[in-house]
Amino acid sequence: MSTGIDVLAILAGQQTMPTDPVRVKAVIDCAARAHLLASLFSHMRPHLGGKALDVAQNASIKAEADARMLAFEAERLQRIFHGTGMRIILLKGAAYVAAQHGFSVGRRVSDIDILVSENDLLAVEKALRGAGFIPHAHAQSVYDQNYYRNYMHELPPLVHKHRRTVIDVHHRLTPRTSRISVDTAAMVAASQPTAGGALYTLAPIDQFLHAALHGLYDNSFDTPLRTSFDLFSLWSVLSAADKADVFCRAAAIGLEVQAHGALDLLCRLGLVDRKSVPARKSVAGALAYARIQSGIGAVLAHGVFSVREHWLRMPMRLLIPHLARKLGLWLREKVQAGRQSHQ
Amino acid sequence: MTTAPFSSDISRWRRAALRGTLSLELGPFRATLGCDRPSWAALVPHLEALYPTMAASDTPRIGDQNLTVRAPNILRRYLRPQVVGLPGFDLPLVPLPQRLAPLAFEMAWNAAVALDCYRFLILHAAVVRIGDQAVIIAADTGGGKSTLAAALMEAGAILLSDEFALIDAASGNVHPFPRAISLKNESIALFAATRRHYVDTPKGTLGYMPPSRESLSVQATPARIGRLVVPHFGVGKSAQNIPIDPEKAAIRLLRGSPNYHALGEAGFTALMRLVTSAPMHELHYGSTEDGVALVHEVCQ
Repeated sequence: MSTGIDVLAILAGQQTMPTDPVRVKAVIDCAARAHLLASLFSHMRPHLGGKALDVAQNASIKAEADARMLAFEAERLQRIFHGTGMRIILLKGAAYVAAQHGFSVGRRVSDIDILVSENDLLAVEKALRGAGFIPHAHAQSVYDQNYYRNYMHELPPLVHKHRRTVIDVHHRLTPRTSRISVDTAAMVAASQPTAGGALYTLAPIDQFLHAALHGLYDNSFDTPLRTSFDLFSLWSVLSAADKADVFCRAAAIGLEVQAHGALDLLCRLGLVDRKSVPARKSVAGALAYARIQSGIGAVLAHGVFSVREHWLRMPMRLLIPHLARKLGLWLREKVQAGRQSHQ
Repeated sequence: MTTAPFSSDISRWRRAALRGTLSLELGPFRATLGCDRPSWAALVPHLEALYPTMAASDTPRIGDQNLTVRAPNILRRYLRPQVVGLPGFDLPLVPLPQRLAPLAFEMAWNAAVALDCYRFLILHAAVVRIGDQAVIIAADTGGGKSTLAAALMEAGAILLSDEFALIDAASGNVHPFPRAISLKNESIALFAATRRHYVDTPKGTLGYMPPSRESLSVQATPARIGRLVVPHFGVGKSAQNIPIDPEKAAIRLLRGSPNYHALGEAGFTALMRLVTSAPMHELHYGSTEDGVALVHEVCQ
């Protein structure tokens, strides 16, 4: 059993914190690396003392700051788009907080993701620029700007010039060039207004499917524990009707494979009972499970994920020149860093 | 689960550091340290000279910081050897030559506290205790915070911290964190107690002055903050003490705080309480003696 799987079981309330101090340290360090420390402590804080309490307090103050930042930025978004009639849909962490999901307490968030209709994209960008958001330093070159605008599913990231909050504006859920095609319009149509707010979130079932897509099929599964905990949590808050409907909905919007992958992973992790869901065994689920284990399997799985991420994102005729360019930039940076350190 | 002074059993700490399970306790913090062999060899004389009584333990325990001092990659362990001090989270770091492993350690601990500690309101400042009140010596670039703290220590003050004022938001008190004082370039020669010298570092020549026995004996005792001072050393300046309004003091302090932005209302309340209960003075002086005299004057 890897420590990561223990951390997930504790988070899911299916296992209690170990008592052996060496195991406690392993679990806490593992959760800290996965940015899950505050989540881990959120439901066991009353039982802590000594150094564990110090560490728990530290983690929860940091997570509260994230939640405050999210609430503040969500309120700013409402002001920016007030009266424009544009539907601003919060995605991922911002959505979990806005939907007041219990598991969002303690969840670390670094940036805001929103989804808008492609027709509104330029107007949304203009409004955000007018409200103080500027292009992020990481994506200012002409190449990066064109790359995002021509091929990606989002605008080049924007950052607020004073608050330094990063916002990613999506108009689709997968890159334009992706091998996976999702019916984004159907998900937008099913989105729901937030409680008491003028913003929207995806329907609960779509939140789960989007997390499955984003977590297992649109990046290298670099935060395996957090992704798995998100998936488990989003699955757990679904109504019985939604759970029964999940594969039907998934098929309707083009995410059937992703739904099977995510549920297969949750079953492998022991977080969901395989008898309770008709999830097929899935290669992505097996890979993701291997990635969470320790040892050589995890290293290999990580390699496969990295290659697969790029394979899924764009066809070879775009991918090869893109990677060649990135490799060139990386080499140039290395050479420059080498020169500087010898001066 | 017992701890022992660092100087008591170096070979035991070596084994623990190579396994990554050495824990070191100072003030309110416990740091776990892991090293590779060459980095440990370069680091250990520094720890022995400056922190002989620091509580160490070799059993894995939960800690506030997870530090690693090692070569940036396996090649750099032996070939033109280098070292990095990892604070336990992703941070872009410039590798240092291996002989500067002590610097990598000190910088890693500083980075871990500055960027990943939220249970105190942290100010970038030195702290000394004069009588029963703590004096915060706020950092202003080139102002001479560490030199003044070292001089005050030689004049009988108790050093509580050289780099960070760790303020408990609930009580308003400052927690001691008596790391060695890091002195730069010309300041080093002023203090005979400086133990370790490192030339050609990214900051010029560095020297470290160990905290006094008294400092270490009160490391678990938080202190009430009585005064805030902002030192401005300048060659040829005459001694001058300028009182600063509380609201301006607040702005100055929060500019030098690495975590104020993350503490929300608790941070604001603690800062307001600090500037209204402890007056701030900007101190201008042309000699270290004048600086020490000014601090004693404002503490009256």
